[in-house]
Amino acid sequence: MSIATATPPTNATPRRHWIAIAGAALVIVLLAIGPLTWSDLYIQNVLILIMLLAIMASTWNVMGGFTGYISLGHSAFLGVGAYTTAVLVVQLGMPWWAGIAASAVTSALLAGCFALATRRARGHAYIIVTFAALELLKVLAMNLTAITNGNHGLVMPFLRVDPEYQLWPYYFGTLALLVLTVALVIVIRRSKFGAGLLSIREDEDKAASVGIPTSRYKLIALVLSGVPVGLAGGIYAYYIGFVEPRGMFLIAVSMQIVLAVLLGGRGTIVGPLLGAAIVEPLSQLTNSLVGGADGGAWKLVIFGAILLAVILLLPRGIIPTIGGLLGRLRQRTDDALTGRRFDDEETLPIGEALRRLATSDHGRTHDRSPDILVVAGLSKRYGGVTALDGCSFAVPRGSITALIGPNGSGKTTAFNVIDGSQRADDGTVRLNGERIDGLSRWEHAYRGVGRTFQSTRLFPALTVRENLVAPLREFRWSRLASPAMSGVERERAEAAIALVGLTRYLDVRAGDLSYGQQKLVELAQVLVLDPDLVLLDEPASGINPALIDRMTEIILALRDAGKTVLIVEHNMPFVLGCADVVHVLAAGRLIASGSPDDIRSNPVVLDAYLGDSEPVTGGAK
Amino acid sequence: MGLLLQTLVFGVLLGSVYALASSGLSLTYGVLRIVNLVHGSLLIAGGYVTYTLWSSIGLDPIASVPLSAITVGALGGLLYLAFIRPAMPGGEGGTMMATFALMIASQGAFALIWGNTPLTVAVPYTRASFTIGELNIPEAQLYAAIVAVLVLVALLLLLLRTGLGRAIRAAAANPAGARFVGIEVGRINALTYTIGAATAGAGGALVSLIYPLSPDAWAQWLGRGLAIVVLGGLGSLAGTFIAALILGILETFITTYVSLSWTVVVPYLVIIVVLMVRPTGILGQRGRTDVIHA
Repeated sequence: MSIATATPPTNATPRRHWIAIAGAALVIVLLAIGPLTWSDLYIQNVLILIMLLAIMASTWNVMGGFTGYISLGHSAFLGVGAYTTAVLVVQLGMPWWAGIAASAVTSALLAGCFALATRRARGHAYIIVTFAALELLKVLAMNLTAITNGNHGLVMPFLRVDPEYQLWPYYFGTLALLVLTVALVIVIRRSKFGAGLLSIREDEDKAASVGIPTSRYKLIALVLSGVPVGLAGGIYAYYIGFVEPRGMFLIAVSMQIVLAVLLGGRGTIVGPLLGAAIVEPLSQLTNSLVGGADGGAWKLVIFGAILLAVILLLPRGIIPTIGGLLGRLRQRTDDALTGRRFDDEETLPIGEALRRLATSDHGRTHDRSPDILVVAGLSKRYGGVTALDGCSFAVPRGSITALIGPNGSGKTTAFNVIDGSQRADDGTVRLNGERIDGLSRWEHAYRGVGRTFQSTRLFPALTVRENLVAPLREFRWSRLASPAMSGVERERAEAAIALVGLTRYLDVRAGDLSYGQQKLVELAQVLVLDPDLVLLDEPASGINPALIDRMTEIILALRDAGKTVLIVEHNMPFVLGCADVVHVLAAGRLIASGSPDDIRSNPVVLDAYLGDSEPVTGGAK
Repeated sequence: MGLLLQTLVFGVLLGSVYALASSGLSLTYGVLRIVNLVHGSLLIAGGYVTYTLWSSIGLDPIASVPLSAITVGALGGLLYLAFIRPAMPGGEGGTMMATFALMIASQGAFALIWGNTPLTVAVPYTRASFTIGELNIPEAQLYAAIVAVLVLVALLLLLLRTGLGRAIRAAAANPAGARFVGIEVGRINALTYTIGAATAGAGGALVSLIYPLSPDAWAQWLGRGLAIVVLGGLGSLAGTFIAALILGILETFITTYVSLSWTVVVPYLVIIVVLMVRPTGILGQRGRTDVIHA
């Protein structure tokens, strides 16, 4: 099931945009006037159930489609919402609106628990946790009899509604909730926040390193996806009139949610809605065809089979598949992107590009001490292997400093500690005089540390442009809803890509670029952060000599623009050619520092590389 | 003191059966990197096969262990080839969703074939027990535990002493490396899944001696299996055995000292707590992966 990345909304032509809005308006109007014109209760019932499933599928998609966290426990929000309303209304005699409002609170709390689980559990571990949570809640509903009345369930009071109004209270309540939910999902998808969720899906650690506060984002996404379902649960409790454990915490409902999203198209806006509109009527059809004792069993068999068929035959879902076919028709006329690796004419003078990327609105300190970074006494052990052993060094402001040393000498570990992706067992890291060890990954980015990786880590399914607007220079609640690609963001992305000379690749998927191009794009991405200290992990490895020259040119220009660059590198001609200061690590500690010329002639360094007196502490690289 | 020892004995007997019941889940994860959500259903299928053999020709559940293992192993192998392997291009998420679909469909299939009423296998020794001093050892549980240990020993011998076992371990440790040295990883994967399903079948036969069977009982067994595998460290067979004993003992202690209705929460709590606190489990290296591209 490859994830279909919907084309960035801003790329849609205005005409298509208007068609979508007109279509949505038409559907809403039809749904709104429908029950006023025909009085068929069966159809009203099916529509209510479709809308309920659509609410659940759309919100599942926020975590499962945008963020990459698949849940088998999404129906738990429905159960918790329904139980909250039922317990408050039946056991405590509260009015209906208080019950439904409280459902929003409890479902938000459940979302908080799931968010806590995502701190450690990703991928399949998260799937397991959500399954366990759903089953646990079911057992709790059975066992906490004083509150939930156990297996006997809670009978909701009958809402006195004039029969003339049929199912209208439920119908219009659900419709309003659905419209709000879909509007919310659209806003999320187009916002800076939504772009952050996509980058979490693509590579969570990398997302954190470009300033995305991943745990906060996941919490917000979970609350936004849980609360609408909790509210729907409150309505649902009244609608079916009877709340009991097995019916409320049903894994089969979770399966219908997953099926609706996968069928319609994961990661799209319309997909889950379309999926719900197919799955729920099918479910009703099965009920009417094979009723009776075996009805439930047949339904499970049929739905399991359909889910399998979707996974095997239509892995991308309906909407992305259609989109792909249309896209192929349209793209026939486009030029293939082969030929020159980068465009010299389009290249912006590097100093000018950096000036455009510089921002003044981040609240960084204006410390001007001679050393931008001071590392003192770092130690890090992995089991029995000592990667860093009291490592200390300083990086002069405005310099190009190189960190070299034999394999396993602790260079990459030092990088990981400096950028916050690992914590040292001992020692301190100070940036601009302030301690930064212990801060989260994204706080490092906000304070001006940018880092590229030894093997590049772009967000492969996103375009170069989307990769370049992903970084966050600071976190502000007020910015969450702002559009993912505002004019300023676009300009910055364009300046960054011009800096590395790959402008014509802006709309290419990052995963389709060559390795060397990815290295340059990753550097551009880091520069969007406007970092004071740029960490480059083997920038010259695995790329061709032309690109190495280009890389050298950029690094020198970065220094000239006032940035500090710290490089880990094995390519000695490259690194000794551009560095001002060289630090040599061996066996996890600093053994020499000086200018490239000093280092070339230093016997200790030669010994560390070639001699056998220094024991190699092994694979911590 | 007597009650404590008694509870401990019950726990160890139960834990041995749990070890067999979850070994296949651990094996499949270790080699194929699939969290096989249909594992609980395969176990229940083994129980139903045993029930049918017992009710039609009066075969003792212990005697039907090999038959159940073969039947469920073959069924599992077919499911793997027909549905799970084709979902592999979709990545970890794709295969997991495929097993999820199979798990939902199988509950329906069980209900259609064997009905929704819980079924129990009642052999002459179901209610009998040995008494040693104050200690009471139920016969059914004892036999089930002994057979479970024997099957596990056979499984370990297969993995540690045979060429196939070496190939399986190689594929688990490094699929690409195994391919380089001429191991057909595709075939090994299919065989491993079949062996995993067969252990579920054997486990199911023993489970039918101790627990009633119902179409939705897979959830409880999947929960136990996942709890054990997560606690032991995903993919670690040794960890699985230790964790199975821990879970068996934990469950019997809750049953004895709290109540039976709260025993069911134990596996789910174990899963949630372990994955939130120590995702690597007791012996596993990594219980979490980066975001899966499903």
